[in-house]
Amino acid sequence: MNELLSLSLSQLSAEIRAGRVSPVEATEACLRRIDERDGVLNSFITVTADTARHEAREREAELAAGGWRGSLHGVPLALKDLFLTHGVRTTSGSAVLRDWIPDRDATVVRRLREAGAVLLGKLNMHEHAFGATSENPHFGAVRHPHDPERIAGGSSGGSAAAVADHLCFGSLGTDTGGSIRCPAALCGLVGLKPTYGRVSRAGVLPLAWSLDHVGPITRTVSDAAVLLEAVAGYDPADPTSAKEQVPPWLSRLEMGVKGLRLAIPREHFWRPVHPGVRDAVNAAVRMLEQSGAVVEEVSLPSLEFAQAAQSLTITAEAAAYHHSQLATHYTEYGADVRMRLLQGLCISAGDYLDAQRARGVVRRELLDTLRHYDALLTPTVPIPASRIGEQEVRVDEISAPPLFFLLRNTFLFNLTGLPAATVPCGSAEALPVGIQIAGRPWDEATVLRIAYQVEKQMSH
Amino acid sequence: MNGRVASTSCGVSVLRALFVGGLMKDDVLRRLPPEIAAQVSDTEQEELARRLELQDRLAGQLRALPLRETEPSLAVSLERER
Repeated sequence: MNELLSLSLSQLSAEIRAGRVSPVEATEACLRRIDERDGVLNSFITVTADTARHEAREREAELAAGGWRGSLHGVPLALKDLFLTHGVRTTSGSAVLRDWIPDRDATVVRRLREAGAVLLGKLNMHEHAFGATSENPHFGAVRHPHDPERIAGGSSGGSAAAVADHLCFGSLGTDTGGSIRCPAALCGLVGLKPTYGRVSRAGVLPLAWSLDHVGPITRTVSDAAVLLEAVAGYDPADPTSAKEQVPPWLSRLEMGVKGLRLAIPREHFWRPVHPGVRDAVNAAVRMLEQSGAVVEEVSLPSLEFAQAAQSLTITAEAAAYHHSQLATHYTEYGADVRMRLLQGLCISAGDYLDAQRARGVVRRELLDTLRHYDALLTPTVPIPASRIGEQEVRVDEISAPPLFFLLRNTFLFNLTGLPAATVPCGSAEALPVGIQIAGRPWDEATVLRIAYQVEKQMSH
Repeated sequence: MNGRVASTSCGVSVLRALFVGGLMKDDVLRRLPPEIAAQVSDTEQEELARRLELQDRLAGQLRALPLRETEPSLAVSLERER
């Protein structure tokens, strides 16, 4: 692998700014890597080599003229294929939109372009983001960079595989039940789902609008902070966008965790959990304690309702969005997604509203807990990456399809809108394991700060 | 005796055809918009009936919540706009 590709996004940015690496050189290295590796990974649906080269040359010319747009200037990135891109097809991983070419950019895409990023193309995903394995019936399964017989997770599986295998320096994904954090954890990456309303979703194809979030998937915590700073902030084009200030997250990473109060929920998150995952996460928690954090167990009894509330909400909202398209393109939907949409069409208004009431109960309990604690810690995904096509996984004497495990520990923070990140903390069966850190609303700073500490500990 | 067993088996088969996972097949289709119900295959009906039984059980859990727990989301969002 070209040595340049082993740099993190932040390191590459510094090299570009110092004139030691050119945007064209970085872009060509990524395009060569895509040629070499994507036949195995299947992480890209569309590679925009020509426009990427054109953008890289433009950024290089700007640098030569003394211009520098910021930390993403000349940095090659790629996008999950549900962000609208002007002139570039946007499939949502589906046959229905296989040839759809939008005439505008999503707000976050526009912000990345304005920040100087070079866009390499569009990444494979679970069809319509409605699933967690990225076993896509139309574009093929995304394969795990460490073991191509395994899934990369999902729904942002292409994003995780491409970043983990150095095909690009970072990616944006979406997360409705864990679709950023799950693939990031399985592939040994950092994934951040910010607070609901923090990042615009205008021009992002929805799955479930009260649960959808946009966020970064990167190789380091600093990179996640850089990407988040570039795309966060109020957007009048998104009615759910919040008028919150965008703080300088990157500059707050090194504050350490001394004195922070961290909670470990007793219920739900720790059973079923693969023993290797449990050991890795426990070791990371102990290291945080040794670094001065106070760690205590807490009880969250309302989690009893959370699964039902999430399941009914996501399924009903997805079905509402797809209703007319499903009627006219029934056979073009993959079997698993079509079945979930049929389920959603059968949910009554009363049941959906009950789910929203339950959601309120769960959210209030979590917010009460976070009055006493700075963040919650859990395993991100209870199992390492499962095999492609695997029908059943057995952990802690519980046998269930992979989907049962993959989003089990992440969906709570979609339901409540709280910020949550995953950061690598070890391995199980020689596959990466992540620890999840969830914080108070709008307090991505503390979440990233704790993640940074874990990352620092793991590198020693 | 043999005749009784045979008719019972037949009855079970008929019942199995009518009820899948506790839900009647026709019930499953009635819950769907007609333009979509018309496209659902027999295999999908069976799978959907099985899943709806689980889904209905989840929904049932939530009906047990006390009414006072209604989320005042409109008030909260209006307050934020102030």
